[in-house]
Amino acid sequence: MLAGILTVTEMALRIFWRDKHALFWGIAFPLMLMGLIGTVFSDMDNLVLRTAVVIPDGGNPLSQGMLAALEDVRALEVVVEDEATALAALRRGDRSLVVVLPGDEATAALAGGGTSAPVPVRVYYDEARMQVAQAGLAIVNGIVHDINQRVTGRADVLAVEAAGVAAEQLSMFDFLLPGILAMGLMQSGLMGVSAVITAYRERLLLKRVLATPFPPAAFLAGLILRFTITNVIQGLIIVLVGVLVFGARVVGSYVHLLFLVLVGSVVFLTIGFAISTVSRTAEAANTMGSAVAFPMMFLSGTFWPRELIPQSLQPLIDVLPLTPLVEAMRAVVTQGESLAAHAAGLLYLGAWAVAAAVVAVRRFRWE
Amino acid sequence: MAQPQSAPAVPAIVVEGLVKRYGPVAAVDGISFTVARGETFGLLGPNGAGKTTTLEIIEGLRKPDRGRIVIEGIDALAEPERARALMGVQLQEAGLFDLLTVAETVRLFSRFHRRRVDVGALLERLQLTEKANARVRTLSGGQRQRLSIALALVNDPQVVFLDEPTTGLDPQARRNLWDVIRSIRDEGRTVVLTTHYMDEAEALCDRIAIVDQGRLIALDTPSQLIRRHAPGVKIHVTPAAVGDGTLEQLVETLAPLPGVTAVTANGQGEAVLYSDAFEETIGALVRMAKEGAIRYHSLRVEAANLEDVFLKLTGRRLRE
Repeated sequence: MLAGILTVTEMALRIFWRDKHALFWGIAFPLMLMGLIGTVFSDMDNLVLRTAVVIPDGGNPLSQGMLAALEDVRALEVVVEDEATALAALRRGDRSLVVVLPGDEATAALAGGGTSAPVPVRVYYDEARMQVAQAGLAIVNGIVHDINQRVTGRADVLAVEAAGVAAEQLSMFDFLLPGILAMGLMQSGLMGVSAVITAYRERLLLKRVLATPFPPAAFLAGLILRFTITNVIQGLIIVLVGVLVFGARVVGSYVHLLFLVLVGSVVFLTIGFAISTVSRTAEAANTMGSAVAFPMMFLSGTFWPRELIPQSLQPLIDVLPLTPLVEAMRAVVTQGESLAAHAAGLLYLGAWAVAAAVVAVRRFRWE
Repeated sequence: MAQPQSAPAVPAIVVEGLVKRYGPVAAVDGISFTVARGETFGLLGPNGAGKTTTLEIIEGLRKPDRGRIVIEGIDALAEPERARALMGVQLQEAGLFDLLTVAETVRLFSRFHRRRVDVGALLERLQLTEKANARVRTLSGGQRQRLSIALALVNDPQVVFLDEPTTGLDPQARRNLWDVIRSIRDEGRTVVLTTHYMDEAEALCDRIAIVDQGRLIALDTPSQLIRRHAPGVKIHVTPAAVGDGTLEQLVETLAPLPGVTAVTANGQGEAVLYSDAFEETIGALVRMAKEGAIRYHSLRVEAANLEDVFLKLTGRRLRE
């Protein structure tokens, strides 16, 4: 019987390998998405940062010097504005950074010969655009450091004070990798499993198996094993390409990541089986799967932070099974968090798997 | 229906009082029959007659509402696993894995059975050796069907079920498959097949059960069925003139001729006479023509066949 299950798995893997559509959607599509989105967003960051510079108190030699230094940086497009206008523009997304230069207190600090505390250079940035902030802060930091060195040659007079969440060293690909990983698992289940099982039933292949003494559950076990194997391979390829080609970094444990891949695989596989009990034709299964998968893909924080999505949709996002998987994977990849920190999300995923399994077992038809 | 009484051998299949209802419709309405070992047994009937349902109940794929099935002495409803091990099943219109090769397909299905035959030898006898490494997708209709039969033989079964094995095949592929089915029988296996081709049933079956509307309406050897239900000959008469009412008039004129048991007008503009006294009927026809009472263009004489038996018994054609 085990030999029979393994033969089913082997044959199903052969079919997968020979099925150009399955290969495209399973392997090529996630890689393409990762490459495209990652590249587009990275390029946007590498464009010019529209930077508003606020000069209070009518200006002083120090702020004038800094303004000149900022204007010298090619990546910055500098506009001088008052603080309120600049912050409003930042909120609208019209500015990438707002740098508030020190006023008269800097002149005083300079006169004090560096004995007083450093005077803050306040930098505002958009929390949702972490890399923009990274790039901007790095530039401003560099300039401040330079000025500190040149002007005083001694202790720091100025220090950059970043307003906002303390930024991780995060690249677009670091962010994208766990999202794509979770998306691949979801697609394999919702579109792959459901379409394959429905097609086998529609074409009476399940009935053919039923007409042999082989336990039908063992046949399904062979197929489940095949999807688990291809899911792990798919995940492996996404991580390898993400890390080696796109330079993504996995901060946390690869073992934890593999565990999450297996969890996601089980959850979406059972949901795929459940869908296959509702659809009559493979086309219907595919349409149904896509109808569920695509909104989830865009909402659950796969490609961009869910905070970007309107508040009214947040309760829906909380319910989607892709959300906790993306969150747990992202926490492992970018923050190196432990799985225990995401126990609630994992339990929620387990509940989805159980519910889907109940539907699948109750409603499963062989023909 | 004389069964050989001398050998008290266990019959290959005993079916008793099979009933299967779908809502108010009885798809199978009390069918009973016995198939002897080594026999090729045909279930003949139009689409929707209940052939496939009957077969699938015997194969264990459907549960009957009532009835008893014994395969090689094993109660198939009580011990489906044991019964299934003895059976080879070819399903009507069942698909194959298009992206596997012929050899891979046979290897996969051979894993589903305890008893296995040599894959190479099996492919050889179904003339699939050349196609062993071809993807199933690339096979012709006849080759696919031979592969389907190979899967039914993969466990060296004692009883082989073939559900409409030649439907949709061209005449040459059908003949080729008939040879395959005969060879299965020649190996001593019991074969049960369904078909709606009466020539196929006549060519292959030792005995035929005619099924209509879920009931078994006749069961005998092909020649006995013809002798009993459609004796004599069929004479096709093509009228010389074609016009309104000509054919109907001809049918009326011919009905009282000696030896004529029935006259019908067929769809090709011919009057068809069934006669149990061929010479007298022909003599009368020729005499009438000489006297100018009828005018015909041609006469064609044929032995009656199973199609006629079916028509006689049900008032319908096999393939309508």
